[in-house]
Parts: sequence; structure tokens; C-alpha cells
Amino acid sequence: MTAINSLSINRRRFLQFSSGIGTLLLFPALSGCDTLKKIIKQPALLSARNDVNGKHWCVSYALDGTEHFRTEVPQRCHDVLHHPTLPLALFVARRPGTHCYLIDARSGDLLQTLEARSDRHFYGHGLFDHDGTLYLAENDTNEPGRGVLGIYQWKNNRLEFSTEISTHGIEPHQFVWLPDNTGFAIANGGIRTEAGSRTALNETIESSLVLINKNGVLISKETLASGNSIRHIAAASDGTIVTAQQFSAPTNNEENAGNNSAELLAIKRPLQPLTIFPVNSETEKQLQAYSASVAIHSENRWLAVTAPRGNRLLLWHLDTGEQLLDFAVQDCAGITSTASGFIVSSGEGSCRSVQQQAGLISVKPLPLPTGGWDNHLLLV
Amino acid sequence: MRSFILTLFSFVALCISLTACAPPTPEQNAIAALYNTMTPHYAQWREASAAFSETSNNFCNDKNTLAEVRNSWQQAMLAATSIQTFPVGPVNDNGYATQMTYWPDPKNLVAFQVEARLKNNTQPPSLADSSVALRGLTAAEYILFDKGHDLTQPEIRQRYCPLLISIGAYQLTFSAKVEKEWQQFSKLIKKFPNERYASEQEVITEFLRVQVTLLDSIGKRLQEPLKSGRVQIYQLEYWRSGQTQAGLHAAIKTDEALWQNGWRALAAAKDKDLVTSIDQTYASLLGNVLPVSLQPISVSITTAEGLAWVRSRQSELHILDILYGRELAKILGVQMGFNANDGD
Repeated sequence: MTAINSLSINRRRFLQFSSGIGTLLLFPALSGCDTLKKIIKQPALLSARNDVNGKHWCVSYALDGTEHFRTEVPQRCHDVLHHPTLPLALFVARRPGTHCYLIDARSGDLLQTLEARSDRHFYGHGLFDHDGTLYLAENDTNEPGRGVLGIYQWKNNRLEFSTEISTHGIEPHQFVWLPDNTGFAIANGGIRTEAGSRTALNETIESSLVLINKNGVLISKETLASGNSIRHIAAASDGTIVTAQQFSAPTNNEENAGNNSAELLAIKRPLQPLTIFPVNSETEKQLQAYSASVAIHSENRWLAVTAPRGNRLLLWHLDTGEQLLDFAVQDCAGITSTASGFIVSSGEGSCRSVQQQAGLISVKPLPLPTGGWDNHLLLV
Repeated sequence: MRSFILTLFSFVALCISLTACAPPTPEQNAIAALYNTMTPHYAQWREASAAFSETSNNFCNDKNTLAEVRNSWQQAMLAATSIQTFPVGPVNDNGYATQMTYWPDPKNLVAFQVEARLKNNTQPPSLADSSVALRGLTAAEYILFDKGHDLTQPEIRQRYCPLLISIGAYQLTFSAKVEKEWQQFSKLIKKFPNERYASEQEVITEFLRVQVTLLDSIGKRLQEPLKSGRVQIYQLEYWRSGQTQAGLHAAIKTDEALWQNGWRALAAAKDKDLVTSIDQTYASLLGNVLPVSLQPISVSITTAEGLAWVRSRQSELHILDILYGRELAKILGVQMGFNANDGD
């Protein structure tokens, strides 16, 4: 019985492997055993970076500091995605961007510059489906603020626009898959701007957490009492969703921040409404009403937030709400989960790994280039 | 064989001792110099806070005059201003600056909070549990200098004295606590990596970012009253006491000392023209921003001549901001943080 199961698994694995090889053969530029071995063996840290000369780069490093690639691009990028089956990375331009860069994740070669359509702008985030279909957060420039997810199909070794679905909100930012890739949880930032601008109009923020299915059908739409901008989002394997907000008062004067609860984190447990994830007031002050990224480590049940204004990295237990770590990291922004914890990047300082050792959470610097790391990163 | 092993051992030992005795790098020297420049300011602030606390008590017990307590307030304010000029370490990490002074205060919250607290008949909470607007030297400035009340009148003094004494006591405890934290901070900038910094470059980066931010902040002291397009003197820092220029001088003087003692040597090794430009800009600034003036800025800024003076100083501060933030950062290989201001 065991043998049969083993055989069936092997067959399944063999078929998956054959299918992967087949895809690689269809895309000759991406084949090559040595590189495939490298990809399998060496985790790569992907991120957008900026340098002191104002240049923008798409980069990949091994965690020992070995540079895999460093590709200069014209537009500053925000998030980065990795193709589910091919060695391809897609760097998404920061809002309101007009480029996404499809890059060979082994060599750093720029394979395609995905241009925004004339009436749309990219908004920094996207997702790949298991079959390589790409979803990008976009803003409608004819109706400034109206959010859509642009859907792009992988055809003839290129990404081509297919269709779009509404995000049921204004200014979509980060979005994540719902369990089993059945749909999306979308952070609609709610800050309307003129088309192609970053400057907020003097309007009330209409931020929302929206759940939709893959066809764009609305499942739920929730808002926060504070009206703060829901910008970043992470999901645990059990479907728990956490959102990280940015407080958008006209001034960061502490007294104002005190009058308007920043409500920097909110949580939506499966089948539960969106509620505030309590953060003690002292910590909230340190965050200075601003978070950059949020990440969840499902196995450890850890919730992590980076706060570049407060220069802090913070960690809580996802279920108990107990604060587990408050660590100073300058201009702390990008965060990605690893097998044992997280890797955190910084616009100014070193990247760090966060892991549990002998029951204690330790934070250690990594031998990666110092500073210049943009808002998000990904370990593949 | 034995002699070979001994020779090898001696060689390894020599290498280790040479490494241990390796001269500090220019960056390590700069970090130490910047830290040492600031250390006396922390002691001065604690001492000035102690003096302010004591004279506040004495004033409320008719043992010191109003002029004397105002003078001790000014010394505490100048010492606090020097620390706010370069708030690396605990001041920045814990957001202590607003507990020293509360500014900008576009809604006159300090006056509102002080009066609201005094109107309340119930026992007020301790200052540590009250708004930061009440805890610092700006609230004390309101009590000591605001023209809306006359502290020479005993009943007025009786009304304001409990809060004045509380602020003095709070500042004394607070300054001693921050000084201690500053001393502990020194451990984090000597050996790397440590729990806070991965490398000396990370310290240099943070220190430079703070310096640039604070240059911008000094410029804001002059920009704030002009923001709306017309002159609003109540948006000046220390307008009540007429000490705007003294505060500005203290900030620039500390900033210049940091340049002379720390950054200058780092810059001189790489770009002598940059050194000349920064030297000249500081000389011009300090030649124009004297510790005392014939007229408070809150008066002179309302004249065309005074406004032109303000614009010139803003321009010099802006030049410094660029020289540090772009030129110095570039030659030091420092990537200034950007994620904090993205709004993404």
C-alpha cells in the first residue's frame, strides 16, 4: 500500500516536473540545468532598491550577500512578485507608475517592460495566480481613484492585458489571495488623487477592506471607524487577514495623533468582522502613525509590522495579541517571511533576520548591502 | 616541527594583537566625536533643569524673583534646544523632544491645556499621565511670560505655581533619565554588530539623517510663521519669551560644533570644496544669528527688513540642508531613508 502511494506520488511529482521542464522548453531563454539547480538550492531575496545617485534598481541577492543580479530600471518600483513556475520576477512600479519590469530571475535580464494602458496607472502591488495569470492593482485615470485589478495573461512569452475587475473601492494598494486562491482581500487605500498624481485631494478618506471572488463579485466591504488609510495587508494560512493602516491627519503632531486613534492594525479572523488589533498606546506613539509593511508567519503565529517613521520593527502573537518584539531598525520597511521567521529590510541600514532561537526571538544583521531597500521584499 | 608551530602561533598572536590595536577608522572617530560633542549638553540640561526646578520652587515661596526664574527657564530652554538639535539615540527612539518643548503649536494647545487644567477643581493627574503639551518648557514659558496674566500678583502666582513647580520637577527627573539613557547609548556605537546597529556605516547613516532632518527643522522655526502667506508671529517658537533668536542661535551653534568636531574631518578627506562651502555657510549664519538681538524676531519679522533677514537665514539653512543631504551623503556613500515619507 505504501509502495503504491509512493509510486503515485512519484508519478504525480514526475508529471509536475515534466510539466515544468516542458514550460522551460517552450521558453528557451529560461532553460538551463545549472541555473535551475541554483534556483532550487539558493534562496534569493528580491527587492527594488534606490541608490545615492537617484537611480532605481531591481535586485536579487543570496542571503550570504552574493549578488544574483542588479538591473537598472527607469521607474522606482515598490513590490516584487515571483512567477509560480518560471524563473521570472515582476517588479511593480510605485504608484502612480506606468511600468512593470519582467526580469529573468537568474540573469537579471529585462525581458519585458509592461506598460500601463493610457487610462490606467500601476499602484505598486500585484499577484500571480498558480498558472501565471497576473493581477495588478491599477487606478482608473478617467475616474481618478476608482480602483481596478488589471488581469494579464501569459501569452507568447509575454504578459498581455486581458481584462479588469473592480476593487469596489478607491485607490487600491496591496491585495492578497484568500485561502485556496478563491478570491482576493484588497486594501483600498481610499485616498483620491488627481490622475497620475501622488498628492491627495482634500477629501474624506474612503478606505475599505474588500473581499471579492476571482470574477470580481463582491463578498464583503468593511471600513474602520477612524477612517485611516488601509494600505497593507497580509493573510495567514488559516485565512486570518491583518491590515496595516496609515494615519492621514494634516499634521503628525502627537496631540492630534492622540485625539484621533491611529488604529494602525486591524484583524479579520475567518468569518469575523474587521476589528482593531490592539496596540498599546506607547508603541503606537513610537510608530508615529505610519506603517510600511505587514507580514504573518503562519506556523509561528507571528504578526510583524515595519514602521519607518518610528524606526521600529514590531512583532505580536497573532492570536493572543501579546507583543513579542520591539526592535529599532532605521527606515525599516520591507518584510518577508522565511522558514524560521522574517527578513526585514531598511532604506538606510542593514537587512536583518528575525528568528526564534532557544525560545527567544533574535534579530541579526545580514551581510547584504546597506540601505536603499524599497518598501517591500520577497524571499524565493 | 615544534619551532614551526611556535612561529606560527606567534604569528597568529601578533596578527590578533595588531587587529585589536588597529587604529580607529575615520568613521569611528567621527561617531565618537559626534557623541562626545553632545554629552556635555545632556549634563548641562540636567543641571539647568535642576536650577529651574529650584528657582520655580523659590519663586513660588517668594525667595526668587520673577526675573530670576525666567532666567533659569531660559538656561533650561537653551540646553534642551541643543539636545533637540541632534536627537540621536534615546531622544529620537522614544519621541522625547515634545516632552522638552511643545512646538509647533498652531492651535495654541499649550495655553488651552494649561488653563483647562487650572480650571478643573478636581485633583489633576500627574504630569507623567498628562498631555505632553503640559509637561515641557513651552507650558512653563506660557506661565512665566504670557501677557494674559501677571505673576507679580500673589493670587495669580498662587494659581499658576503648583503647575510651574510640577513642570520643574518633571523636567528635572526627565532630564536625569534621558542623560542616563544617553550614557547607555554609548555602548551601542562602539562595537558592531550589536543589538541596535549592524555596522558603523549604519550609525553614520542614522546620524547624518538626523542632522539633515534637524537642519530642516531649524529652517522650520523660521518658516512656520510664514506658512500661511502672511506673517503669524504666534507660530514662532518662544514668541512669548522673545527668545526665538536665542533658541535659533543655540541650535545653529550646536549644529556647527557637530560639523567642526565630527563631520568636517570625514568630508575633508574626500571633498575640500564641500568643506569650504559648509564652513562659509556656518560662518555667515552665526555672524547673522547672534544670541541676543535688539528686537525679538516676533517684532522684526513684521518689517520688510526683518522679513528679508529671515529669508536670508532660511536660504542659508536650505543650502546647508542640501550640502549635507546631497553632497556629504553622496561622498560618504550614505543612502538617506525614504520609506518613512512615501505614503505608500
